[in-house]
Amino acid sequence: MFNTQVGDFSREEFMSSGHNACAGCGPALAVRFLMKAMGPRVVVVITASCWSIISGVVPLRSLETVVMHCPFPSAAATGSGVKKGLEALGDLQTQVVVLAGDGGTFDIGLQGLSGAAERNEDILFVCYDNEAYMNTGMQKSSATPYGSRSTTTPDPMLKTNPKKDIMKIMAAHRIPYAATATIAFPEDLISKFKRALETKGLRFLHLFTPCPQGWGSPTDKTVELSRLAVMTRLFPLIEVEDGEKYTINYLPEEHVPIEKYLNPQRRFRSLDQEEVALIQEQVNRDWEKMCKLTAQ
Amino acid sequence: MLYSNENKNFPPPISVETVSTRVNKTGLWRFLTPVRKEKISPCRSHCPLESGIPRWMNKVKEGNWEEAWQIMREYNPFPAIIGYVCYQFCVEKCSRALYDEPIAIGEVEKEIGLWRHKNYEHKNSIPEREKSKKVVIVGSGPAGLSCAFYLNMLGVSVTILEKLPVAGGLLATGIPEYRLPRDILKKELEILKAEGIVIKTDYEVGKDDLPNLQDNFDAVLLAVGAQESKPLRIKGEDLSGVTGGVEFLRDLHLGKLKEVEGRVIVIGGGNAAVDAACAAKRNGAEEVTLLYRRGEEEMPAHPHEIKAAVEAGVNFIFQTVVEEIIGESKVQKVRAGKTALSCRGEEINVLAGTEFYLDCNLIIAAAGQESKLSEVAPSFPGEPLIFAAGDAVSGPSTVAGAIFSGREAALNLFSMLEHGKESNESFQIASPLNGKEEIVSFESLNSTLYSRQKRFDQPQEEAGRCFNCGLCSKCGVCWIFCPDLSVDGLSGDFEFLLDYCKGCGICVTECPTGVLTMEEVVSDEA
Repeated sequence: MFNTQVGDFSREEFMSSGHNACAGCGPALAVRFLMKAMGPRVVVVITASCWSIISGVVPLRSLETVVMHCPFPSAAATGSGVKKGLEALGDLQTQVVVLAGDGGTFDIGLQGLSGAAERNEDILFVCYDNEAYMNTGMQKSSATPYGSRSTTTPDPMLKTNPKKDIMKIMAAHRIPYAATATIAFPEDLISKFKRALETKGLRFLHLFTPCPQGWGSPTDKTVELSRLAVMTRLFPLIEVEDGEKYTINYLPEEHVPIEKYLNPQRRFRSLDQEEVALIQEQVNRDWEKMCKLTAQ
Repeated sequence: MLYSNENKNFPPPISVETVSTRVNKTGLWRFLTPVRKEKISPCRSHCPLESGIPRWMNKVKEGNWEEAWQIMREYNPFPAIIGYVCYQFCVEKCSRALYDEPIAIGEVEKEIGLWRHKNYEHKNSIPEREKSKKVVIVGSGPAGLSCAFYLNMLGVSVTILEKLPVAGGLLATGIPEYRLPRDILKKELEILKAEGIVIKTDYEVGKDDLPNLQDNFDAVLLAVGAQESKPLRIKGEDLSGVTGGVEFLRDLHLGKLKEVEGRVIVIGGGNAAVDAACAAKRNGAEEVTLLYRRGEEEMPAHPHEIKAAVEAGVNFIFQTVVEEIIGESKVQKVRAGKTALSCRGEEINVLAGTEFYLDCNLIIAAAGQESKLSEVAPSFPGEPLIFAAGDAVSGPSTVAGAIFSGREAALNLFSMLEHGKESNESFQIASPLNGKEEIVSFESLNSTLYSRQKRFDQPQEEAGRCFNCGLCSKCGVCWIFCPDLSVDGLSGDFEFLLDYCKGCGICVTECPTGVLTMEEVVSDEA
């Protein structure tokens, strides 16, 4: 039988076709799942990112709910304010979801997010990570992985620093719930959204969402790449409760070499074998560390 | 949705856009279009019956045995028999073999047949008086029975004539009982009779009877099989103690021959030879030796059969040809010689000075079979309403091949009877493939959606492992992974909403059964 039990998913959609995402967009798919889990009773706060456009330019909207746009650094702050405002109006039910890209989370939005996390504001912060500033033309962010090409780290000056470990940062804030998820595992993703909705306080979701335009991968490989990221153990599907209790949700059955994930992407094209071996080593090391964390 | 919320507090006092992005027809961005096109599975392409395996597997997976049978009978009216006897060329090509373990297709097929045996009810048959056409079938082997089944289904009155006292042809008198339990055949025949097919045994048809049959029936189908062993054309062939392979098996099954004694030599390398060797061993022969004139790799017998024979204790001597049978009135020994290496179809060269002698009490000559077709009907082919099917036409093949031939004959015969009336859907008989259809490759499937699993004993669970290659199983994977919501998830058919499809191709890559392809489709707007 399938690993993906499609029959269990709700057929109801709270997102419309005709949005402006590129063909094969990972973030669009991720938010579609998000809305499926969430339902319409939610305020979505969107910071500057691809989703500023995908959610519709005036007078259009692609999400069947209330959307609020905000400046780049203030995603978490705006979310916190909206939540407090709703509470002041006596609406304790409506959820506030902050939608930010990796730039709005790892770089520009980090101080706002850190503040909200410290105050433990009752919001769900969703970071859809496509590993660069894709909307403005693929400039590198601190989520861009080692060895990746971008317009600010062009070939041969590839990115030399590794990706920031955002999950550790969020865990260090001791927030009640943080999790990683990706679009190739919709069951896992939707169940994590639902779990997040049931939790009070700041919840953080790190979504791995391939971007065919920026990564130079074929548009049809979006889901496959996100699956490979999990299978190669590059992007483990985990949950962290109260910054302490780590759980790995999916243990890959076999070892898939990292080349399988790197090869279809043009941004990694100029890596030589040595560098690929380095990446593989790093992945193995990170995975071991993660296993140790879950064992404790 | 937005404004119909019951809670007065929602939405909060904030301005919202009111026009849906659905006004954007993003389908205009598309270069390539996903197209759902059912393709031929590798198992089907290698099945002598061209059976739509993924289709009935899908029904078994759902636990819907009735529909599984309804689909099965379009291809194969006797799944229980095929489940037992078929060599399962399908399993050799199963895509799942490249992933973990091939599906036990034969086992599932057998279960459908056994379900049918258990749940058979006489219903919906056409009353005798409404059957305006009458057809007679000579021979009750798999081809004849299959043709009878389909013709009966199409509303033709069918009579089968069998020269032996038992019906079933090779199924009754050729295939060993350990491969096909006789109660399975009995049950199939019972069902056919209950459906209104008349089977007359002990009724031999000679060439003089044919005009008579033509007078009494609208059409004649000759399915006499290839039931005569070819003569060896060597000295001593007429001695007592020399018999043919099919004749030997027939005598054994009919009880004319109770026991085999002494040393037996079987000549030939086909399934009939191996079956005869096994049967001789099982029925008391002291020692059974099979002589084949070429090497083991060249043997036409199926590897399963050869393995069974080795296990039964049959000796094999390859590269050996019998040149003379020696004995006074009864067989005593044979003179044999070694042959040079050769492939099938090449000439046999006996090496000089290699002759040797083997003692024996019985010789079974199973080097090929031929049909009596030309004896029964010297005028065939040529007359419009005389048809032939099965081994009689094709030479010795498989049971599945014979059933296929009977199916085709039924289609042709029926169209001919109805004067060129086109075959249509209500026929419920599968048309043969033309060999040009696209076959689904393992690479076009998204096998990663399945976990690796070994075979299950439960047929329903086992059917659940089937990839359903080339058949849309309405799983909805295309719908769930569409970032543009351009697959309609509400209808259950997962239609593409081409107004919005941007042509990314995720659905095609993710499709677990390989029914989707990206194609260049010129739209009307362009």
